Amino acid sequence: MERMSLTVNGETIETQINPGTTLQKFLHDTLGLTGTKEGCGEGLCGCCTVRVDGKAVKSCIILALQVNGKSVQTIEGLAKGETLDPVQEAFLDHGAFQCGYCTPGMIMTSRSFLDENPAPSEKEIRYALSGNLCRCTGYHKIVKAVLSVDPKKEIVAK
Amino acid sequence: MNNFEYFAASDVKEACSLLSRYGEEAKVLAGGQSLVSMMKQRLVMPSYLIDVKGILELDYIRYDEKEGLKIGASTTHRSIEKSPLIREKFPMLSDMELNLASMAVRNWATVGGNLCGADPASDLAPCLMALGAQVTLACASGERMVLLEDFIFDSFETMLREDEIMTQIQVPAKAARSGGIYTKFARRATDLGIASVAAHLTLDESDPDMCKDIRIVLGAVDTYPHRYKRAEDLIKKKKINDAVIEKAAQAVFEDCQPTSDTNGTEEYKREIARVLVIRNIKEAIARARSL
Amino acid sequence: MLISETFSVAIPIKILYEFLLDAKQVGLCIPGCESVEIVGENEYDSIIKAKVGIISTKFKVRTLIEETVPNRLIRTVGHGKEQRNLGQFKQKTEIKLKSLSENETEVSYQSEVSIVGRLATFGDRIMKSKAKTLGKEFADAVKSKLK
Repeated sequence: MERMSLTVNGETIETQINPGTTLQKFLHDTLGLTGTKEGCGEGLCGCCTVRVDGKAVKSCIILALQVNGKSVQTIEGLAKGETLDPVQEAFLDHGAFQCGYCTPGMIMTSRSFLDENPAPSEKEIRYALSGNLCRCTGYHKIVKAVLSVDPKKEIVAK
Repeated sequence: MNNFEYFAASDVKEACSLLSRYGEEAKVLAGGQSLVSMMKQRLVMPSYLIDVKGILELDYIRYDEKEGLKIGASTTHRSIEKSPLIREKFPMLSDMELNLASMAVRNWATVGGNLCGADPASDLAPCLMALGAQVTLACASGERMVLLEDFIFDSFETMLREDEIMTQIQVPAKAARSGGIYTKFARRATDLGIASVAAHLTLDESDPDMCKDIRIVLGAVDTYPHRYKRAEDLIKKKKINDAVIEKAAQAVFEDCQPTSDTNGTEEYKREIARVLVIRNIKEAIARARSL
Repeated sequence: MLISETFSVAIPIKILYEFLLDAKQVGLCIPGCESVEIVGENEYDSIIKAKVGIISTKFKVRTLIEETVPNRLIRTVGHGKEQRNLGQFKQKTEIKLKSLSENETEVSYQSEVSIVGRLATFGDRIMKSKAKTLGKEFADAVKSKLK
């Protein structure tokens, strides 16, 4: 067992874990934050996407110990109390999900991407989301939702 | 995953001494985007994992006109992608990164990990080889520099010894009238390449139609990324025209040894490579001329 | 997956043919072969280690020489199991010999190999290129043994 301390959705956590625990397993199984899912288990589908120090990463192929001392944000930590993040609002407004399995990953990737590129083109959004697979929607509404996020509204979200 | 002991090395010296101590039973963990996946499948079961991702002294991108570009081995692909310095001096690297895996993987994976993993379909290796890169390998007793084109010598095989880690990648300073391009042929974004070509050339200072130097490296299509010197020699020190370029591409067509698989037959891959070589040399020339 | 290779050796066809039927001798030439045990008439067990990058494998292999045509053909079938459950394979191999001159023989082999298990996820590309390298090492070892 190895000690580690990190912040998850703003909360400081001190814990001991088995080194072979991936970040996804730690978040999902240990902390009960089930929004971060294991889809392919190989870092290809993006269902496990979370943000580490603001950057989108594939948590199923990252050892939890590697985020020791860092700050992690999952889908559960995106909204501020009752106020949804503009990306979440956009997904709702556009009906950009069906089964919802890929949605947390899609939103976390989009949020991370928009923080770095507030007013992207459709092409740039599609490239940014290329690491997140969806089996239901055909991506059209997801891309529309991300395109619709108003960069001026971002100031509130950050 | 198997049970293993984990060490987070804080500097190069610590990493090397741990590797010396545990030898074959230890593996280096950088971004882990390949290694952790393999460990989850129990394809690799090290007893000790030496994490080098936290070695901050290996995360840097520097450039000067004398020593050229220096990239620390722990630098992420995303840093390369977003670097204005690299976009200005070596846009070939910036463009290559845009099509490497996905944004989230690039945020965590390191350039050192990519090169030491020596995947035949690596995008980074062909580009850096085309740029004449050297890598620095450090161990407890010192360090050595090796040309990247020598460092990777077979499928997933490098010159890295058990007790060494890669610390730096160095690319010679951008020469006047030089240009390069990397093109990856794949079905979808994030796919491994089916065939990829990195071409970089320098034109003669006094004659813009004369090629002073050229490097052509293929990725994905052969057992490991390497230069195609017979093709290079058909263009180097020659006047460049369509016929010369076609000849070089034909040499690549004949010399490469693709493997037939679900992505295509040998013949298909050879032809893709040939066409990419022609397109890339022409584009590299255009870039070299426009400075 | 089909693996095939042709090479020539400066060895008379008869000597080469006899050599290839001697499992213990052949075993010494197979890269990574640790042991060869005769378990029946024309049937052999061997332990073979192979490495692809950082992935190490150790196979327990059973081979049966199915058919022989003196100085012309050797046909084998076999299967192997990786000792840590990384996968299994089945193979069918045909080795053809052709005399090029009194002291030179051409060897061409064709192997049909099917792999299942975790190793198979690596796909043809790695297996084939690894097989090519191993094939060449085998040929070199045979040449130096019979010099």
